[in-house]
Amino acid sequence: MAWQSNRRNYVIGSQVMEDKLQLLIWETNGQLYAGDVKYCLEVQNGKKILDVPHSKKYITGIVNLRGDIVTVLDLFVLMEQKDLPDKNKAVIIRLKDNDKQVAVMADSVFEVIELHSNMLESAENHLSEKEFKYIPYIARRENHLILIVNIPELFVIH
Amino acid sequence: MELDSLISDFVSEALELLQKAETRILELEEDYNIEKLHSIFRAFHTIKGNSGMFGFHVIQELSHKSEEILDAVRSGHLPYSRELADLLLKSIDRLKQILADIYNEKNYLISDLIEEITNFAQPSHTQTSKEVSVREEAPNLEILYSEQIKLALEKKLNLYYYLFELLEDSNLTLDELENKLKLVENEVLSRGLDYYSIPLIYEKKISLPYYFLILTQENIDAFETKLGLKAKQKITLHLHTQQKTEEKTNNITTNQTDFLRVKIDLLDDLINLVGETIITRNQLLQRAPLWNDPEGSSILSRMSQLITQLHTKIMNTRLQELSTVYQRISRIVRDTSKSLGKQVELKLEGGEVELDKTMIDTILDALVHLIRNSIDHGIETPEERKKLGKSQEGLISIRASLQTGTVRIQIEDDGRGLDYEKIKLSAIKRGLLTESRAQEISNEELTEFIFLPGVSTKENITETSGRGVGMDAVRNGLKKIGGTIHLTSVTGQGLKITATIPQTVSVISCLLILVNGRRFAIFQKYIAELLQFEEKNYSVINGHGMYQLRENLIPIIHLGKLLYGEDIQSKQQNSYIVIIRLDTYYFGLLFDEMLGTEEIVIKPLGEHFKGIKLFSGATIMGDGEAVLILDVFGIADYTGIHTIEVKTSKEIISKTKERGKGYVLFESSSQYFATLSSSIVSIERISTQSIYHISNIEVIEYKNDIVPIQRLEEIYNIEKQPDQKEKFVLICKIEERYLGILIDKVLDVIESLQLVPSSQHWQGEGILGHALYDQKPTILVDIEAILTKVNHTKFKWLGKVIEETMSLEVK
Repeated sequence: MAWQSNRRNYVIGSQVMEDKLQLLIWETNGQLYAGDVKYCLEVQNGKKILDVPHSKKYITGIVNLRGDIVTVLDLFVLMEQKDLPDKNKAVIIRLKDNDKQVAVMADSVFEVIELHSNMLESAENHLSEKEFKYIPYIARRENHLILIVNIPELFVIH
Repeated sequence: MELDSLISDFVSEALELLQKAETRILELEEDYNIEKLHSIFRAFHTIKGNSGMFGFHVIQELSHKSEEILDAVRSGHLPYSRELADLLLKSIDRLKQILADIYNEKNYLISDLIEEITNFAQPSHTQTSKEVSVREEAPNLEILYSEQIKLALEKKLNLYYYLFELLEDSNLTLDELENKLKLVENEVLSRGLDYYSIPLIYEKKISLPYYFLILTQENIDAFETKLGLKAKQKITLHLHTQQKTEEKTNNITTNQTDFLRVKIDLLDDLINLVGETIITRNQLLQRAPLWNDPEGSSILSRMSQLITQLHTKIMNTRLQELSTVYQRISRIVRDTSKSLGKQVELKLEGGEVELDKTMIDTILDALVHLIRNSIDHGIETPEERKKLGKSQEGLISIRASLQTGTVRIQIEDDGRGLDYEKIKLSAIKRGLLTESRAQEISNEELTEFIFLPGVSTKENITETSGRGVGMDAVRNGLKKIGGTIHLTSVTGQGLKITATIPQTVSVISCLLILVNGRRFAIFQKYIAELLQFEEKNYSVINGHGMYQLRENLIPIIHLGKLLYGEDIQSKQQNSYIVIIRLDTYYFGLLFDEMLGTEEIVIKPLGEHFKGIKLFSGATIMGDGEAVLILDVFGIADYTGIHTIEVKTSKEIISKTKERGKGYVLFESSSQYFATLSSSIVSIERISTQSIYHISNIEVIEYKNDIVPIQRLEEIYNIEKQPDQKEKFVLICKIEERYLGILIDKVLDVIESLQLVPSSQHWQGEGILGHALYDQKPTILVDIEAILTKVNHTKFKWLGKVIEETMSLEVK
């Protein structure tokens, strides 16, 4: 059947994604990003991040989130982007996968949207190898480009 | 889910039974006792039954086989021997392995063990065994001496079957043996050659086995010690204390209903919740002064004490006795000494000392390594020991004790001790020591090299040790839990290792400092001294910053430079130095500002920071912000500071040992006083608003405790001057209580005080003498004596009230 031959398995990390995805959308430096909501534990405002001397460059620091010390990662350093956005962000998004936790920063968080997996497009041809590792897919919605973040990759220790 | 829970309980119980069985098997080798044999049998029997219920047939079969062979021993068809013990231990190991992977139980093969056990139990096996065993073809001693056992029961005495191998064991004649026995009160009921133990004609042994059947009230170990002899074998036929032990066991069985099995995850959750409560409490305490509500503050203060008590109780739930570690150690000593062909006696003391569970796990790893090292490197072979005039059996003793929240474990052996020449050579070879320095270095300093990676005195690497990585890992493991380790040795005589570990870790007292605008915490237990930086005392020698402190030069680490790459020259004025004391050396940390002391809850840093040695964790302050905890050991390792001027550090230690003679000079109502610095636990800066009154007694809060304070003006009738906004309290510990002396300011800390003839006017309680400081008359007082007196008089009733109130609140 035609629809079956077009059916693809969308994979993020080692997991095959469901047909319908629930994604949390956030914005950093004018660009929209999205991540599977099942990894998103909470969103916090106005938290002070403490830098940790001698830590890797992609680590912004640590932050207190409900009594836990959580490592804050800089996605842009991980993607080896040259133009790094300002580190003073208002919002922290806490991500969790089983017993692993990290956090990323954002300017603002919008909403949770539902996207059908056939709306996703591989980002391979659009991004560098490093960027593609963290942003495997892109989606378009209402004239906006959304970069889909590979959240499980953020839990990998480098 | 329910089945999973039941299986989990079964596994947990089976592991516990196996552990107990293992302990009994090892004990039986030292002292054969039928009751212990029964308990081993019961363990296998219970596991067999329970595993059958769940359909774990592999476990059931192996347990059944082990039970069968034990039954053969019980009925006298098989003697209890070392080979049998080995077999049972193998069986236990295999069962533990299977239990650890219970859901794959069916995949485990046990046919090899089953065959081994079956073959062992064959009559032909025991007949052809060449090893001499006391019970080989011997009648059951309990049956043979049943009359004597009855006599022992009537007389309420112990009955022992004591076997010597004359010429082999002690080189004694029978006369000498007889005389030895007279040293201890006993009655020899029977004696003679143990015919069943006489070596067979093809054996090379020349000794003859001679037994005594002894009736005595002494415990067997005490008996042996008093006798000054070591038997080939000692069998307890009757123990008078046995009945009492059984009653006790029954009582314990009854009392076991008072205990409840609780999952560790649940306890961990409780501890986390209490930790969060402490952080929230700290936040409230920070805000309390702004409320201007004395009643509210008082309620908060009471709540604060309750939270501290709650925390202590919860931490205590995680405490486990060291005896759980000792059980494992006994097995390791047995197996390791056997594999290395050595004979080792293990003495264990202090098994009742309790440690937090996480500490127990770390301690076990460290102890296992140290014991293996001791047996491999330290204890000589029996032949070597005989040539050296030592007993053929080496001795390893482990002693544990608890002192004010710190557990001290001493491991001592009577082996060959450290070979300092070999350590020197190894250190020179690795470039850690120059030839010239090696000429003057002391043995004490050389022991430090044992802890450096790659330093080993063993020529060959064995399965057991020799790679030179073990001691380094042991020390690091202990450091991570706030512990320390120290070695002393006399070549040829043995090695003593002393490890200290905090009993629990979670809430610790810290000094908060500021570096480059960020707060950091340092464990107070490592702080020796705090000073204000003075440029004139600072110099750079061989590229290292050094600080003149009294007569010593101490290496200094500039934290701003270490952490943020700051320029050393900037910000040195108005800085502070904290002198850190680690094991046998000292160094200083230079920082910007001192913020005070606080009790903090330690939180681990994530996996991302694993490679960073400088921090041991983080904490959350009362304002909700995270603060990093400096790891002083990590800083020392990272900067290599312990290799700098070891000689100087040694001088510092010897000077510092005399620090007890140093004096703190202070002022109260314009009168100068001096007191021994060793009397003082800490000096607290307080605001006069934080002084409360309970009846006519002034009190402050210190470490969540209500501490009464005393003014010297009242003791010595000095005219009291109006209080300034800020004052100081000298905190002392008197009879397990904190008490304080309220003063106006601290003037100085000096090493020596020149006493002058005293004026009659200034005689009085607690006055030790008089001196001049800055041309002003200064009274030397013994504040400990003063506070001890008021503790028994003025503060006595207050102590009781506080205790009673707190115990009522807890109920």
